[in-house]
Amino acid sequence: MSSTTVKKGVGLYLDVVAVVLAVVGVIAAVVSTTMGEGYEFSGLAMCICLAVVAIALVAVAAYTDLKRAEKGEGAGIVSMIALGVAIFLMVFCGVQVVASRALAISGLFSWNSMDTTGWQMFYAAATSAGGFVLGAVLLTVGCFLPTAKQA
Amino acid sequence: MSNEAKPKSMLTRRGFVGVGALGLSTAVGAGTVMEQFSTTLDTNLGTTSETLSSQSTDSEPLYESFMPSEDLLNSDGTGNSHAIIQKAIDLNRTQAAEGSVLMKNETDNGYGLPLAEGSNVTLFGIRSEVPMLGSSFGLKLYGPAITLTQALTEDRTDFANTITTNVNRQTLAVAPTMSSWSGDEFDFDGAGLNINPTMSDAYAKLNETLNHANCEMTVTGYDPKEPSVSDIEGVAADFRSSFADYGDAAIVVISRPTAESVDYLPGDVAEGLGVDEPLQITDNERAAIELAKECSKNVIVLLNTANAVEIRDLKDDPDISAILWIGFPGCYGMLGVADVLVGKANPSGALTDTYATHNLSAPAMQNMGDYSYANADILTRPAGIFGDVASKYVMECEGIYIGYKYYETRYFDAVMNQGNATSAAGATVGEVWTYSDEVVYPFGYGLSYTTFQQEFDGEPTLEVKKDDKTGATTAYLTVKVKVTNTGDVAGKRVVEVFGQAPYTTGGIEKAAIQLLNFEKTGELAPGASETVEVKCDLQYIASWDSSYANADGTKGTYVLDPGDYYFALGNGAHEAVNNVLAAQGADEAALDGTGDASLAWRLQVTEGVISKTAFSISKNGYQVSNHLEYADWNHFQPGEVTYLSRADWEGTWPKEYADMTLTDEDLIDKLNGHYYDLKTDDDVSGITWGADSDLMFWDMKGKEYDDPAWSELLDKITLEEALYIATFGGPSIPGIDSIGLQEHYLTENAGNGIVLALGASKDTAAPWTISEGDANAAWNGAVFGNAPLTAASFNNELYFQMGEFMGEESLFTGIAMLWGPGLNVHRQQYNGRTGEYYSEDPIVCGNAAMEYSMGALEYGLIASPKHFAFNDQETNRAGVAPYMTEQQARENELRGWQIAFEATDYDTADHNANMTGLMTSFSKIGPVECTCSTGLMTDILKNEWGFRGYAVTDIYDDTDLWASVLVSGTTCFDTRGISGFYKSTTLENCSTFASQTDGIKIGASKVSGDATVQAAVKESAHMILYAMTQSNLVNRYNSTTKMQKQMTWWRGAYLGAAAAFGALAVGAAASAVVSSRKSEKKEA
Repeated sequence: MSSTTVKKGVGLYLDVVAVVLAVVGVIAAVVSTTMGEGYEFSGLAMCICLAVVAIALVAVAAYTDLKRAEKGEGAGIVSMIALGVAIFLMVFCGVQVVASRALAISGLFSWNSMDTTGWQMFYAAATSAGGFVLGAVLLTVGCFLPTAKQA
Repeated sequence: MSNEAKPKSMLTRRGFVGVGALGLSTAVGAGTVMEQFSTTLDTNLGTTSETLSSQSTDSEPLYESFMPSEDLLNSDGTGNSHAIIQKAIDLNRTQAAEGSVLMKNETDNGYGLPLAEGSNVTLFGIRSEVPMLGSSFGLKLYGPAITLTQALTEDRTDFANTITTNVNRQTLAVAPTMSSWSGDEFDFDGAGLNINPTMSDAYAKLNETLNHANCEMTVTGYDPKEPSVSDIEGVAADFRSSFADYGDAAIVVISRPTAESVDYLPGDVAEGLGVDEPLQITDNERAAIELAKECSKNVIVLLNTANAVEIRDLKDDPDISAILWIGFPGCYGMLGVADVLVGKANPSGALTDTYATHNLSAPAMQNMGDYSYANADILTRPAGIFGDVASKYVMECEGIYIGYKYYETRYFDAVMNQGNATSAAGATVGEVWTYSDEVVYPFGYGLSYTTFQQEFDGEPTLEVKKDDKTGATTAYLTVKVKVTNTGDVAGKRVVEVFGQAPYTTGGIEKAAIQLLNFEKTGELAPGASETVEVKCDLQYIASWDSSYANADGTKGTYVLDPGDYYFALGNGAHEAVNNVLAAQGADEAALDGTGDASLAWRLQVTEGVISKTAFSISKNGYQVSNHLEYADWNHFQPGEVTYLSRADWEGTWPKEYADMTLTDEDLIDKLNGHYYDLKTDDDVSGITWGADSDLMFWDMKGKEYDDPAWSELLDKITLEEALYIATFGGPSIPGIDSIGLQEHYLTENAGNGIVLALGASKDTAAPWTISEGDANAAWNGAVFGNAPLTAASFNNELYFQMGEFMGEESLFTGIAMLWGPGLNVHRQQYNGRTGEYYSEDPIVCGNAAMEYSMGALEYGLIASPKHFAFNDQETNRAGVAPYMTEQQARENELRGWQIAFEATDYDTADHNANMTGLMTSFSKIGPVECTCSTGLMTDILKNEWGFRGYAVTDIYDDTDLWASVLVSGTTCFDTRGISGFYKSTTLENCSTFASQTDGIKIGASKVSGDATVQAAVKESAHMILYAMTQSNLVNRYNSTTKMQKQMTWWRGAYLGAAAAFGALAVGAAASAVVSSRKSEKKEA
């Protein structure tokens, strides 16, 4: 099988944006956990680990797709599974960021609305969860699109 | 080369895997969260995710311990929702009729109250259209109401179109408290008046933009938003022309909201209102009164408030015929108000608070609001989810002189020329302090449409006894009072007995007059008499002497100084003190009002009559002594704070203590939350966990607290189980597998009724359950008037009936405990929670709460009064440190609690009655969190008063001080919203307890080497389980009881979604693999 010249597909760009969003999610999660006592994200370490794994899986998927494209092949099983797992993990991270603060957040919308630190935590947590979930959505869209195209 | 041949097909499959993964992860994540908060979802969505399953047998019958009264049941034993609502309407009507206080009624010129049936009346004030019916936030009302206009004119409810409204505290948007009402309507006998439709329509139109609600809270820069005359003209240009036809009377409604979390603050009013203070009558409100005068010669003012508004000029205005205080009357209370207005009910309520000319004249108001330590930056306790919990304080240097105890004592001293009482200090008018300048209406005062004569029916009798078992001395003075209706209409009358202890200048502080007890007559026909017995516990005229040296080396006790004690009757505290003054031969010319010596009685107390330290042993058999010395700032930094003393009113008048500087290390240490260090190497061999036993939860039903079976049951529980029950205090509480207790939704907020819909019972197996399909299933029990209105009835039977109805509500809603009623005193009138607490007087507070709670207990409902204790302001409520003398704490702040918890009136020879629940305060006592104060929670509450029951923190309060809270005697935390214990929620993973001030993570393993915590946890489990076994929870339990998970729609949705998306992902992946292999084979 001869090597073929390839150019980057839309899917790759979406993967890159998704990775950036995941990094934003991690940073925002760290920020939200340092807002003050009582707002620690108890699953932060696990969240970071899972996010790193998800990012790595996206990279693996992109790499294998590009390699296959160089050989003139389309998307393969490896990238499919890697992306599927990455999507699962990123959503999981997003849900965890919110779920661990669900009580505090529900309080902000009811009896504890004066808690300015709490609101800052909420905005950071929402940014984090939004980054993870939006990243997962972009990855999902990217799954339908080619990572690389033959030139 | 299939992948090359079919790239789109592969991408599509990959895309479906992605969609599947996305959906699966979302469903699993959502499901995890939903399971964690399943009971919260159940409450809000009306679902039932778990049910308790029990089989009733002949030997173990269910639902027989506590049952609703027969009048609320259908013949087949099912609940009758129509009858329940009708009973609520009737009770709320009685509450408002008995609680309304007639403050002024000038009838000499033929005006005033009551109004004749058929009168043509005009209502004024925006609040006549949208009255305050309840508080907001935690204590708002729910559902449909009867409006003032309906009560005055109609004879049938229009619930479908009169649903109460509430203001959202974040957005300030007004919304109905219920989306719609399609249930029953009810007939009632209205007042039969005719109301001016022009003005009512005008106010309704104005409210479309003013947006008032029935349940509101105050806001910063308060503005009552009363429309101006030009505003009215803007919607009804010719409104004055309607006056001619509706001028028999003009009723003006003036309101002020109150609700938790926000206080009124001195000077905090919007600009342009013509007032300096939020409780003063604004220009537009005065303009409404002037319009009323234009309309009619008979002007009636309704005060629709909980906080005392400043109405000196309304009292003095000859053109205002009557003033009627109606509190927040609740959803149906306007019926009772209407009854009073037309004379169907004769007003018999009395004021629960002093109406001062200026509220700022109270010594307590000199220190109220936002105060931070000057060097707060040295404090290290981190802020929690409530923000700053360490650096705020308030200096309560008024001492014991709260409410009438200040005004009447200062008056007494002014008359007797003692202690610089007439000096300018504290005077708001001129350079001389005079009672007539400072007080408009005194505490305990109220008028009637008839007149009464009260007289002693014989000499009061004193009974002093020593209980051989406890060693406690009790002394009761029984005062028989003959009440005669000397007027021409029937009515009830409150009989108030006040007392005065002998004061020595420079000695222990003593109020010149204090309420000792009260009763109310039945309905007395004109000319009829009734002799009422009022039993006064003389412990409440004793004074707390913090310096008294006890024989055991401790300090502090109650003392009855020898000398002349006076007991007086009176229509309020002022009349009583005048009667005492008359009996003491005071110069009549110096009195404000008149005194009648025959209405006062003197008791000469010597050691032979009652020992000075007769009350040094509590009724529960404990030596009393100082336990709150750290409440006093001077305990740490001597001489820095001066407390008000009647020895020198001028020299000790409270100054404002702002920017106090912390220097004492012990004080700083306490503010940092350093109360208890977890131990690791205690000998815990004496504490048994997980022992074998056949005893189960249901076997403990009705057993006394000290029954030996408890020890066996508690030893059977594992340490981990006990930690769960002592940590997660509800509303959802954990189960205990080893004794067969299941996880329950146990508690709810209450006070004005239980906040749950009839059709959303937490106990759907009860035979009287109202089904979701019932026409009235949406009816919510939170419909009653507020606490001051109840209290103002001065009717112990009514207090009890209110509690009984809450108890019946609890059976229909499946709630075994309630967080209420409110039981703090009104330290001052700007407190946001004035509408939630009964009175400025602890005797009123204590009686009302005791009767309410005992009534609730009749139906197995554990009333847990809140907030224990010292919730004297909502400003900085998350952890404000109120500093005060122990005497202030004992005689004012705690006395109501003591009365309620000792519940002496309900003790019998073989049963020590006791309230079995409470909620602690966010507040500190001095620098120590109430939740962590062993002196408060154990020494006073459990030992002195004999409390046995459930003592929960306020919501998430002091979760960073877990071990300190548990060892203090507090039994558990309010962990609202948390459920799914042992599974999705564990001690180790619960984020609410994640951040401990001492850095130690909570969990069973963390207390394995701490005998103190383990003993405290065992006692907490005992207290909580004991309370449960006294409650209607036992209705549901026998040996067949188990919990069954139910398939709710949300559970089905997330499981279904997870399955579908999982299948999609797996299917697409499998398809891709198969397709790939086929291609490879083809290629090969």
